[in-house]
Order: sequence, then structure tokens, then C-alpha cells
Amino acid sequence: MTEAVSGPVVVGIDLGTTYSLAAVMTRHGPRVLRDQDGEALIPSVVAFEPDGTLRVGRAALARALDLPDRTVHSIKRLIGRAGVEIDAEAKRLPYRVRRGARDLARVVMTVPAYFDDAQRQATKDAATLAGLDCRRIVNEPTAAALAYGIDGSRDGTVLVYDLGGGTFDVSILRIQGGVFRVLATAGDTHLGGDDFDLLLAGDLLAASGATAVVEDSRVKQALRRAAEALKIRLSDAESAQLELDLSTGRTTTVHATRADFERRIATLVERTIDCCRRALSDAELDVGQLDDVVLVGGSSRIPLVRRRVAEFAQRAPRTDVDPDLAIALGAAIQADVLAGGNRALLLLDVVPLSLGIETMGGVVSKLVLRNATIPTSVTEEFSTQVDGQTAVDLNVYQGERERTADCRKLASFKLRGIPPMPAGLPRVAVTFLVDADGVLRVTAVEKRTGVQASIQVVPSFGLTRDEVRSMMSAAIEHARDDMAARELVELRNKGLAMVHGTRRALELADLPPDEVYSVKKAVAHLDRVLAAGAPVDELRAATDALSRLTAQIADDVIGSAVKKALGDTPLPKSVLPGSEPR
Amino acid sequence: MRHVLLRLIDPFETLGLPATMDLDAATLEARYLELSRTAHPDRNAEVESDAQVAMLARAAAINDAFRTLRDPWTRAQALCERLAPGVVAATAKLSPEFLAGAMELAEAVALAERDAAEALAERIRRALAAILADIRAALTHVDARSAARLLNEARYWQKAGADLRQKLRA
Ligand SMILES: Nc1ncnc2c1ncn2[C@@H]1O[C@H](COP(=O)(O)OP(=O)(O)OP(=O)(O)O)[C@@H](O)[C@H]1O
Ligand SMILES: [Mg+2]
Repeated sequence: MTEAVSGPVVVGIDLGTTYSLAAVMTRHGPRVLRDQDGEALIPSVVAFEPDGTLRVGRAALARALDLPDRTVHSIKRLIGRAGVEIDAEAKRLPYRVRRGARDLARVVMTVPAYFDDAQRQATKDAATLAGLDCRRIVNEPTAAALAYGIDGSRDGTVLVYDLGGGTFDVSILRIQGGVFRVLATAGDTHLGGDDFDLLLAGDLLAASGATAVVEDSRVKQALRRAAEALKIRLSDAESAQLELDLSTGRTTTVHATRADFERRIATLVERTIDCCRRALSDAELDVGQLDDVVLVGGSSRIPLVRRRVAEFAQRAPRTDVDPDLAIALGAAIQADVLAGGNRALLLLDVVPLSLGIETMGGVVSKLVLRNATIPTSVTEEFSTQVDGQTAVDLNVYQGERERTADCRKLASFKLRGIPPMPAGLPRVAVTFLVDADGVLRVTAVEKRTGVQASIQVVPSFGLTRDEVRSMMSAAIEHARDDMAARELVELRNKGLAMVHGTRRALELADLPPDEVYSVKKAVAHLDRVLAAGAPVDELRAATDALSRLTAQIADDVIGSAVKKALGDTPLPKSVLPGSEPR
Repeated sequence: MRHVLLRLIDPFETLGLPATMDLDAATLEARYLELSRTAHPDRNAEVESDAQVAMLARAAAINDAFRTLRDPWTRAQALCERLAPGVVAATAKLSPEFLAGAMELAEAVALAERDAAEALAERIRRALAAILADIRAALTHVDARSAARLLNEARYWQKAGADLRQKLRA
């Protein structure tokens, strides 16, 4: 830091899939922080040395070839996916934030707009574990718009297109008198430059004819690096080539042309354009109503990407702020707002995905719709299904689909102590409150008696701080197993939910006996597979088999529910699942 | 299909605007931004923690009031509830004649082929515009019951419109 910073400082941090960086507000505007070598971009890489030492950033990247099994890249893809522990360390940036009068460094962290609630919570927790006081989570594209000298002095509607290493985000903002209001966001948490590298690496391998060595992780790393290097060169040149060292002592020359590369990634790029379309329609706007289009993220340098965005938006995108730095600079601007340094700007952000509660039959009743401005609070009333029911289950879900099986479960809790009443009589008011960070709190009150329960939603694997800590040390030993474990955990959770949900649905639905029989058989099989602690493959086969069966049945059931809705009696209030009567 | 709780806080009062269907979009937006500028939690990061809860509730109420009033259908619903709390739920039971028509509409949507779909979409749009005009008229005559019944009828048209769009996309 060469420039003086005065007053309480809040640091803005852009935690990227491939690079991370930090910035602060100075008297001369936002500035990125640089390390002792003058580097601003810190590779988001962690290396676990055999002796237990931990390296991060450039030092870790340097070990990637020697320790391919003990270096973790693109960790952000795992955040909030039961891999929480690792990223806490990844976030230990190799520069120390020099602390001021206060002990805890205060930061604003950015996340992809499309991060779900669990991933936001995990990011906050990780910051805490790293000794940082996270004052705000800001969506990356929103931060980028702030940096774009779209400094609030000019009003208009802006589309921010952010294609990075691992995630794609698009946001549409309206700027009016210094208020930045997000109208809509869309994106894909698993789409970015890493995917382009993989496609190209596959082609390189095929061209080298060396398929036998693909299992060697050293070779894989080398291939990926070569692919990325070629890809970056192709942003400036029509073709490029490279010497590739295939560990067997053999070297080979690989080359690629821009035309081939663009053909290879065209469908992925088209997926980003589809997201833009959806965001526009969510914002109820036509392309012609956009005043500016802003490109952010390293992968937005690819000529095909620029061309497609320009065609779609019918205007040349702006690129006048370094796409690598825009997000961190924007985070610093928002940090300054929070520290009270800037009273002219205000950000109004949105909920990226709808939030709801499970009602009988495995259906999600949405309370907060996606793109609702935060903070927001919604209350709706539900009732019971069974006479004398004394407790209801509140299962909280996130996602756009109708059925719980297709949404992400965030949390669950129980409201107990309802006095026995006939079904339908209890009045359970459920309130969803989403705060300015996009973090959710759910409260349930039975209105006749006043009994209540509430929960601050934490990731569905519901870890306590201590558990996170102990997992963190475990993770250092099992960095790689964790990725496989994560899949297993997710599948198991899904499987358990399916067994449970399908059994309940069977009780409710009026199905022909042959269908009941085949569903029951599939449920029983899945149940056995779960109980036996079967490996991933077997588990996946069992859940897939059941999904296929129930998808058809769900269509039938929904069809009959619609018919019922059109009958002359209105449907009763939605009912919540719960315990049997006493 | 589920009962939506009455808003405890009236959105017109929250934004300090006259309770009428004829809100000017620009006035509404300007008022919303002005209030957000002072009430948003970011502007009050340093206040005491118990005050912060109230701050959060107020900022949420402002956002929710804006969302409600921006859309003419939810605005009409808020006006009904103001005039006669609970009236929307109380008028949810619709006449057999209307429901028979709604059933036909649902069938038409289910069976619509690509070329017929556009005409059907237009029919739905026009029906909704007519219902909204009737709701306005009812509300100017302070007839919350009629307005609420029309709102409940509109749901079937809206659902048909949404189903049709979904079908066209697939
Ligand atoms: N000139 C270039 N041409 C093509 N791709 C590039 C270029 N420069 C960087 N990239 C790619 O951009 C990606 C990194 O972009 P960026 O730093 O914006 O991502 P990130 O912030 O780390 O990740 P994310 O935003 O997805 O979490 C990498 O995949 C990198 O290969
Ligand atoms: Mg990024």
C-alpha cells in the first residue's frame, strides 16, 4: 500500500475461482492492493506439502506440477458444497491487511450473483475463520458496475456480463441518482474459462495420440496449462502453438486455431447468451432499453464472446476498466459506503433464487421470488393435514422448480407444541426475512396459541463452527478425497429426501395399484442401497431409477390437482408435513 | 391455492402515497428511491444492534411496498384489503359458470397448437385488460367485494397465460 488511507478502513475482496485480489478506497479513488512483488492477482490455489505446511497463491501454484495430487485449484467451485473448510485457508491471502485501531480487519467480499444461500453463508464463515470481519457480501457483477465509473453521476440501465474462470454471471442494473438497483440477475455457477481449457485439453490430447498417459495427473496438469496458454494466445492471434512436455521424456508440439477453438466453445458461449436473455425478460426490458453493456472477467477477452455479446446487445460493449480489477475496485467502493465514507451511493441488490417451504406432497410453496430486492420479508399462512397434529415440519428450499426433489434444501426445523385441533384449524404463519447480505431467517408462529420457532438458515449440512474447524484440519489431509466425498454426501442427501418424499407422496396420491407397486419397489431398493452405504455409482443408479418413475407420476398428480382446482370448491390452505397425531 | 396473510403494514402508508389505482410510475419510483436512501441498512451500518432489527424491518417494508404497488394487480389487491380486510380470501369461491369457463380455457391451453397459440395468447391478454379495467371501476366506487372477486377470477386467466407461455417455450 503506497497511498495513505484514513478513517475506518473496510477492504474489498474479490475471491475469484482462478485469482483473488483486494482493494481499498483512497483519497484518489479505489486502488488494488499489491504484494511485495507488485502483483495484484493472487492465484486462488492451495498446496498441501507432505510435511503438513500450507502454501497459498503464487507459491502454491509453483508446486502444482510437483505435487499435482496435493494442490487444489478453483476451490470456489466447492464453496458451500461440503468443501467449506478448504476455502477458509484459500482465502488467507499472502498479504496481510495491516490492521488499524480495530483488531479485526473489516472486509466486503464478493460472490457470484448466482451463489445460493448456503454458498453465501459458507463464504462468510470462511472469512470469519480467516480472522476477517465480513461486513457485506456483494454480488460480483454489481461490484463491477460500481467500478465502471458508472459512478452514479449518469443515469441509465446497464447489463454487466461477467465470464470468469469458473462462473458466469449476468446482472441488469438501473442507476438513478446514485442508487444502483439490480433489476435481475442470472447465471451459471459452473461455466467459465476452466471449461474451455478442458475442452481444448481434450483436443490436444487426441491430437498428440498419447491417450495412454491420461491417467497420469502430472500429464493432466501439464495439458491443462498448455490448453489455457494456447487459449489466451488465441484471443490475440488466429493460431498458436506450444511445446508440450509429456513427462515420458517425450515432447510434442501442439497447435490450435482460433476458428477451431471457437467452434469448440460455441455452445457454452450460447448458454451465456441464453442467461442474458432470461435476465432481460426478468427485468421486463427489451435489448433496446439498455444504455450500456459492460464486460468483466478474464474470459470476456475471448473474441467470440465479445462478438456474441455485441450482437445480442446490439451495441459495442464497454471495456474501459481492466476486467481483472473491476470487481475488487467495486467492492472497495461498496466498502467505503459501509464505512460511512461515501453517502452519495447506494446499492439495492436482489435475491438470486426463489425461496420457499415444503408443503404436503413434496411441493415447494415459494414465499420469496427470485429478483426480489433485499432486504425483504414475506409472511404466509399454512395449516395442518391430520386431526390432532401437534407439530409441523418446516423444510426450507431454494430454487425455481415446483418439486422439492428439484430444489436445494437449505434447512429444516420443527414447530412443536400445537394443541391438538382438527386438521386445517391451526394457523401457522411462516415468515421469510432476507437481510441485506441475502441471508435468510425463517420464523413460524401458530396464531391461535402463539407458539413459535425460528431458524437462521445455515448450509443444509448444518455444521457448527467447531465442526468446521475440525474438518479444516482433516481437509488438509484429505484435500482430494473431499471432492469425491462431496458427491457422495450430496447423493446420499438426495436419496434420503427421495425415499422420504416419495413415501409421503404415495400416501397422498391416488395411483393405480401397479404404479404403487413399482414405485414402492424402487423406493425399497434405494432405501437398501442407502442403508448399505453403497458407493456413488450404485447410489446414482438407484436415485435415477426412482426419479424416472416418479417424474411420470408427478405429472399425473399435478394434472389431477389442476382439475381439482377447477372444480367448484377452492382448494384448502396448503398444509405442512408433520408428526402423527398423539 | 393458499391463503396469503394480510399485510400488517399498508404499502401506501409505508411509502406515504395516496391510496389509489392511479399511481404515476415515475412518482412511485422516485418516492421509493428517496426513502431507500435514508432507510437502507447500509446507510446505518453503525447503529445499535436492537435498532438494526427495526431498521431491517423498515427497509424490507419499503422494498415490499414498492414491489406491491408497482404491479397493478397486487396494487389492486392492496386496495381491496385496505377497504375490507380479508375480502380477497372471502370471495375466493367462484360461481360454477365462471369455473366451467375456466375449465374450457385450461383445455384450450392444453390443446393449443403453435398457430392457434398466438390467437389464444391475445384472447387472454384482452380478457385480463378488461378485468383490470373492471377492477379499477369497482374500486373507484369503493366496491371492494366486486374488485376482490374479479381479482380471484383474474388468477385463472393469469395461470392460463403462464401455462401457455411455458408450453410455447418447451
Ligand atoms: N486473454 C484471455 N483470453 C481468454 N481467456 C482468458 C484471457 N485472460 C484470462 N483468461 C481466462 O479468464 C479466466 C480467469 O478469469 P477471472 O480472473 O475473471 O476469473 P475468476 O474471477 O478467477 O473466476 P470466477 O469469476 O469465475 O470466480 C481463466 O479461465 C483464464 O484462462
Ligand atoms: Mg471473477
